[in-house]
Amino acid sequence: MSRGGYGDSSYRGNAGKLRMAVTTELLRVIRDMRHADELFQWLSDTLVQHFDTQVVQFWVAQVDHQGQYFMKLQVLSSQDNSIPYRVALSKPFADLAGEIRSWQTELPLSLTGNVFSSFQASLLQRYGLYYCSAEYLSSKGQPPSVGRTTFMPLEAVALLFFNQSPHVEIPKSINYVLKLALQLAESGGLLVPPTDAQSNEVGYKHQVAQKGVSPLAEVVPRRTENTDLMTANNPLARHAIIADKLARRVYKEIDGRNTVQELCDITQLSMTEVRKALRILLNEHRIELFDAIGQPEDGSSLLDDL
Amino acid sequence: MSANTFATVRAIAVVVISVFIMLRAFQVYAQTRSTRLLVLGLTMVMIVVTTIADVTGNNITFHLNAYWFNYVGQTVAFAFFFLSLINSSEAYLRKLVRWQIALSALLFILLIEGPALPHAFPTLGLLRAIFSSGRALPCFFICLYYFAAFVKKETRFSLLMGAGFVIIGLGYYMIFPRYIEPPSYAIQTAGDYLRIIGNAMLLVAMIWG
Repeated sequence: MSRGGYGDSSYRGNAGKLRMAVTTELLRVIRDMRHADELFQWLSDTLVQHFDTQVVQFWVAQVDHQGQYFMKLQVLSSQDNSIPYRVALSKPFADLAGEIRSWQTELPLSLTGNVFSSFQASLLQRYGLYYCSAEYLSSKGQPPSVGRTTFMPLEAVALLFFNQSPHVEIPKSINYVLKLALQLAESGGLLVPPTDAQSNEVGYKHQVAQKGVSPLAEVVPRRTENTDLMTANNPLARHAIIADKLARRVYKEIDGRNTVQELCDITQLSMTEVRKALRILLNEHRIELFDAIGQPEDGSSLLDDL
Repeated sequence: MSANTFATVRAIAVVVISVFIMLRAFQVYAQTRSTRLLVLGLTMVMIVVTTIADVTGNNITFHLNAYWFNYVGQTVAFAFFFLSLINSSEAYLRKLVRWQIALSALLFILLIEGPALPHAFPTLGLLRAIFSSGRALPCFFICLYYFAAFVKKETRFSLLMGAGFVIIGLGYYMIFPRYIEPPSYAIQTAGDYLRIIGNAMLLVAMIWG
């Protein structure tokens, strides 16, 4: 589907036309789809391309071995590829999706600052994500019976992020398209239980696309708060000084905000050298590693990953 | 040796010890960027400068009137050192350093404007006694903090630091009557002794602690 058919300039003034065009395209492409994941992927790409949505995520409710619900990110599309996937895949989104699922309602267009913590909101705003909304999608499913295909009851949440308040018709159109898509998926037999292979193949497309980026690159090292320094430990003693020159150079630049990639740029060291320095600093308990939204990271496994 | 000569000896000892701690603190700070060390270094800078100003003021012919700068400067310096101990958060310490630099810079106005300040100030017995001995207050707070740290985790460093600051605090505190009663050089000398011992103890803590 090309942008030219219902381009950016016209859709604000003619939301109905846009909705119609997307619906027509949906009816056409859904015939070739075999699984809901493909539909989610198409929907997220379409919303990003034609509805001024910066980031779209589809979270699907799943049940773990203990019968507990959890939200799994199925698809993610973004207009801006520079948004780190650790930001886009972070826990607060999963939590929000989980809450939307439990309320079984939508989240009207809101400022990200009113929905997320101030830290998370400022992080999102750094990438131009000032507004968000969410749609709750559910299909009833069908109990197994002889001669009939068993449809899996599906609960999904679409999280949508905008850089500016969209035209009032846009959320309505998105809601219409999503509800219609789910009905078509149900009637078209797309809602069969996904296999892990399918899920991995389609659902994590975004991650696969960014496979070249080291997971360590987006990690933010922070200095460990040494409460004993100067109170119980002599700060001027020899052991207070970092013996390794490389580690010392990296440690100087650690300010709790720079990512590992940024540290590489600032220190003009290679990722391998910075990794080596971080390993030393971690072993000496001088730093801790956090992801982009401030969740602690397992340093050992990350540093071994490279 | 007269009391004033001994005061100069005490001042030299304090300056030498403080300069040593200051240089070491800045050296380690350059390598570790530990903000608490920066506070320590700045505290020592202030102690050195105020002590030099005090000695200079006592031994030159023109009226420097460094008393305000000396008393307030040292009280503020020790207060900032105490404040650096009570919270380890990097954001807090960075904010503290900014305040310390700003306030210390402002205090230099007291030194520059000293001659213009009330000349009667040094003769105001009670007020001067309060300002002079007031320096003991942050020292006692620091000492309490170190003793609490020692109770929590028995280290030689916290014990020596606690002992050092209590002795320095006592040195400041005990000279209180000197400004009210007719000049008591014995009290002044005893106070100077204590301050030398206290500072030496800080040095030992920094080297051996």
